[in-house]
Amino acid sequence: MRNLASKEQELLRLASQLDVEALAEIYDRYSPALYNYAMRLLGDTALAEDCVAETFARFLKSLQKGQGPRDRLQAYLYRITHNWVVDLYRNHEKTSELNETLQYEEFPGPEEEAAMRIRQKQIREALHNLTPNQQKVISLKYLEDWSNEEIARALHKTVGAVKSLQHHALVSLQKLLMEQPDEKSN
Amino acid sequence: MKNQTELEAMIRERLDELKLVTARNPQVAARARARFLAQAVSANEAHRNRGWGFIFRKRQFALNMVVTILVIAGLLAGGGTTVRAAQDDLPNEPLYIIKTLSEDVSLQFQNSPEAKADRLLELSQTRVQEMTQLIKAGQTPPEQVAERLEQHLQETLQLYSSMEDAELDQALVQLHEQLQQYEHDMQSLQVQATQGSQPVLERTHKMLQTQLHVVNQGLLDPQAFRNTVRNGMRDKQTQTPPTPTSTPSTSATPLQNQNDQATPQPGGQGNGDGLGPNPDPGKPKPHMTPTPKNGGNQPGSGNDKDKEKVPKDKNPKDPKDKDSGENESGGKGSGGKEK
Repeated sequence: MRNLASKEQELLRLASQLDVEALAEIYDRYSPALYNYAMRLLGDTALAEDCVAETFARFLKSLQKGQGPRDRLQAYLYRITHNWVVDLYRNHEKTSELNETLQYEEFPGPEEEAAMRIRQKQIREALHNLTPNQQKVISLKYLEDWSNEEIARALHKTVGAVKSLQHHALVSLQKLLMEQPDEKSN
Repeated sequence: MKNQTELEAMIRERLDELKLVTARNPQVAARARARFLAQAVSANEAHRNRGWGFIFRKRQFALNMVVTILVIAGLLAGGGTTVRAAQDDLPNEPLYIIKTLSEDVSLQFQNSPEAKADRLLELSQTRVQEMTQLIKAGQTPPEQVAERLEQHLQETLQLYSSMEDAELDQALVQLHEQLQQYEHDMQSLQVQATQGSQPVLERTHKMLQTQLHVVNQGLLDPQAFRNTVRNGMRDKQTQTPPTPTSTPSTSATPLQNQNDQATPQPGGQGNGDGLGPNPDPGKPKPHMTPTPKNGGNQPGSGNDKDKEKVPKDKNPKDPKDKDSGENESGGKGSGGKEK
């Protein structure tokens, strides 16, 4: 564990000097998981690709400014990814363009698969109605299987605060999901 | 407490459905990776060009401008004949400076990188011819000639490093032949030259071998070649190149001989080359395969059409234009559009 941490420190040190090989290693190490994370939150391959590209572009830009993370690179990258998704939904709340797209999107394929995708859409929509911090806690805990301690470190909060956010988020989610129509009615 | 547990179980069950994501398209992933690395390379270059490098470049630019203006003024004042007359001069002759100045000007006026690279190769040919003529006349070629030859070749490689793979391959094959010829010429000259000329010839020979080595690397792995050229070929050149053999044009190369087709053999060369590790950034590494922590990408879970369902114009919604980029939640990036 300590070796992994020191390896990441070394990678970050080299990355801060814009070392291309270190940046490539960071990309290879984290981009697959970030893509999956973005896919789970967005349900759209193209958007997920955009999200990952933008995450790393912002990371690079921070390094160029002499900023960027000094440690906990994984948490830093997840935060950028998550914030990109939140921004995306926030920007399009005004026009409801994205929601409409999702709502009227066709779900071709077998019935079971279509039902699954509708359920996925519902849970995603419910997730996006949580507060940003609640979203992060729920996503990292239940989608990425992070421990409360890891989440606390990533969000710069106490474990108690994370548990509290989690509790309120679960209650809100239940309420939001119950308000949604059954997928069969879609 | 029971309610909390039940609630959590219920939500977890629903959220588990989100874990089933469509597998990432490996080609799209590889392109995204290449794009990020391109951004990284240019960021690295920008970083390296700050400070003294920037000052030097400014100074070099100013010098080039002065030289250009002087030569143009000379031409306008009826110096065209002088410049033409200077073209045959050797380094130890009075008009040689006019010759090199006019060469520099001619480079400034090339209208494309390809044309400039071609002109640089012509000039490198001229330098080798000058060395040959001087040796045949029993004279020692000045260091200045060898340095200009090296400069021409380095600039050529720099220009090549911006080329696409196919174009680069073709250009490197041509350069490889030319370098082999120069190496052969240099070995012949070493046999004929006086003792006093040996150091400059030996240095030039080694320089040519290093350049050949870099070209070979480019034929085997274009991306590694670009990294080498952009990230410190100058440093690498101080390293010892492969040991020269006693026969002409025998450097180990991916080309069987100078008349063969380029047949780069992955893995056939490149180890122990003194040029550092090969990052091979053009290829996704094995661990790049999406490996969700907990059951993602399960077979049959995705809909293949999902990969195609987003048309190009479906995704105009980019949050990046809203934010300032001062923190990780904002800022414009060059996010790749892969649709």
